[in-house]
Amino acid sequence: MRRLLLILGLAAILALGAGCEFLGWDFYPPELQNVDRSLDMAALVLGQTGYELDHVMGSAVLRADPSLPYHLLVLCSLKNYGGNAVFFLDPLTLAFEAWVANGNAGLPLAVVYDTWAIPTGAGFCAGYLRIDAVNLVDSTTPWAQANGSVGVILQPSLANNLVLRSTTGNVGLDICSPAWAILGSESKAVITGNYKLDLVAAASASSSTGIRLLLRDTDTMQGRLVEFANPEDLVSAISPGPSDIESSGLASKFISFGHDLKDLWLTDKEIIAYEDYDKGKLVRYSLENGSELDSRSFAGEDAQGLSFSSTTSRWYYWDKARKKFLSLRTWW
Amino acid sequence: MPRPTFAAVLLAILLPGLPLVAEDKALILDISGPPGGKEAQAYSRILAEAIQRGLALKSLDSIIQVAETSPSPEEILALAKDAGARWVFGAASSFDGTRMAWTGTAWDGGDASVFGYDSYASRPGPAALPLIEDSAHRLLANLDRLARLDKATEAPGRSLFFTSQDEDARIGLGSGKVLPSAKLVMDGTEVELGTIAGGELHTPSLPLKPGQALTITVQKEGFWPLVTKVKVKDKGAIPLPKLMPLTAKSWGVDYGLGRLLGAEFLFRAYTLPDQVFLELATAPYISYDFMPGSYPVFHQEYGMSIFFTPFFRPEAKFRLVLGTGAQFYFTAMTAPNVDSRFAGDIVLAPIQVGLEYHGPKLALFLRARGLYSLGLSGGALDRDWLMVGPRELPSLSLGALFK
Repeated sequence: MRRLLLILGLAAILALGAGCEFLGWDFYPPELQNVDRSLDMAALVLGQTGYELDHVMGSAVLRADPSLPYHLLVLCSLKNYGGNAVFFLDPLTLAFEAWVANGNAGLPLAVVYDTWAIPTGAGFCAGYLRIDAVNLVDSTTPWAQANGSVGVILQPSLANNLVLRSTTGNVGLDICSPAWAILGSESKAVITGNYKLDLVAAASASSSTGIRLLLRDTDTMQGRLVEFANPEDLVSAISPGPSDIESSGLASKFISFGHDLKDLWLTDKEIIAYEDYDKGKLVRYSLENGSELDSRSFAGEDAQGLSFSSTTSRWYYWDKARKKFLSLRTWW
Repeated sequence: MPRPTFAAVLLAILLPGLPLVAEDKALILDISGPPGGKEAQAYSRILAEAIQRGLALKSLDSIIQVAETSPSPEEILALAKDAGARWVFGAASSFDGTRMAWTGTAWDGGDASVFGYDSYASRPGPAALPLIEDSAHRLLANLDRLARLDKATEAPGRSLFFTSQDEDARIGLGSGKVLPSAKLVMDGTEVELGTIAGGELHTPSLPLKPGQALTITVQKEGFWPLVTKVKVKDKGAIPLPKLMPLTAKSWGVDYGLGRLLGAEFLFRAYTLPDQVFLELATAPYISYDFMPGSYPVFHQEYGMSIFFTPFFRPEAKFRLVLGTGAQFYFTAMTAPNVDSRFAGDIVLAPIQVGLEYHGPKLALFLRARGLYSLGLSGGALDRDWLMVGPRELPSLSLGALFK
């Protein structure tokens, strides 16, 4: 018995030293250890809208302007033809702030230039829906341009919205004015002949003018990170001229990473991938060179609207099995 | 001539020393068994009377006395002394519903040694009467042989020397069957040889040859009876295996996959010793992966299961254990802000399989469990079979039981 206790003690010390995730293996989802807050989203949605929550389509922590606070936007689909609604929550406490719906809310959830946005000239976009970033209300009549796109990138020098779409190995680009007039549309293959590359995320770097595109090869299940020094280089790379984005020479970074990738997210500081591996896991990759930083087990079967925020060091999702919207501490 | 089922194996012996009793007097014990076995009682009486008639033909006086159980050697000495008789005969019978078995035993009242023995069985009824008469004649033939022996020159019989770690265990001659209740049912041929004292037993002198195989029984209160074969040795001790204690309750602890930072404590109450038991278990443990952003999550499991041990003898060292049960898992999160801090899950454990190695005081076991969570509201588990970790390992544990 004494020997058994000694072995167990040594195992525990080794595990502590190595940060072994396996000691947390049990019947429970490991993310239970990371839960920071939980919200009865179904009750909140029913109470505010009068409609039952059907599912959560997406979430994102966004700030329209440095002078404004961050909000957690949660896009909810409502039952009984209630349409979609955007709920605004405090990203740290999950306290309810506001909700907006005009029947046209959709993806992506993004920050956009918007002529009608007062006073900053920028607001939130949820598909067709434009939202005043100060008052958190429906700001104007809807526009179709950003709906269903991968994302919207602001082109600060020209105050244009760059709307990016994924089209069978190509990156589609619409340049829209703040009044959402289409100034130009282009499409360009990422790599000529590769029709399996899907653009899954696009974001501006917070600490530079850089633009990052995240792609997934549905054939090899690998990821690609393409980085441009500024929005203008992105526009030039997609404009007529070079045969594909890779050969344009305008991308400052063009690297592969990961394997068995099922889904991808881009934050200011890292790439996060959901990998269909074992029972499923979340893996963090470096924006510098695509190397794996760390990982944690995550089944993810019941997670809807998953998103990650480097700003709040939280990740968020709607747990459809337990009917809770969860805020979780990041594992890094 | 009917063939005896257990031949008249024990022959006459002579022992030194004269008893202070009448050589021409005998005591016949009608070992009628416990009240209620009326049919068996009638046949033991018939055998006793047949012995009495035979003794009368040999000009020996005898009296019949009723006894409930087969006497111990000490009781033989006392009975012979009280009756003033040199010879003591026992007439016993048993009835199993279809067959009647009877046993005649002859003791020398001077030292309680057995000098004659006969056993036979038949269907009950008038046809059994001449067979009983034959048994009485064979038994008394030993008395004739004893009379012919030259006490001065004839070598005495052989005393068996048993050694055992089970103090106070009773050693008997004869075969029997151990019931699931741990009771020993003899086949009616038993002869008590004595009790282990100081780790050994020297039996009275018996008419045995070296190398001869004997079936003996070893019994002790609180232990599984042992029916085993021994070989008569020319000299030296016959070591008896240690008896396996009856397990009526035990407690244990186990450790394994699913609760690496904790352990399970269990208590077993046996409804049939070592075979069917109810197990109550509780397992406190912590989920904690020591990663940044993680807070420990406490769990406490409560379980109740019923198990049985098929295929193996209940006192066997190796056992297969099968069981089924249900559990309740309580969960408490320790993160400072989480507002739904507690959860409770009901989990079925329909399949539980264990391999166990049992010693007298300690058992080690390896157990696999199939666990199914009902996924009810207020729980932290989905409705699914429960597997451990990302590799989806089954619930396996190693443990020890203390009896």
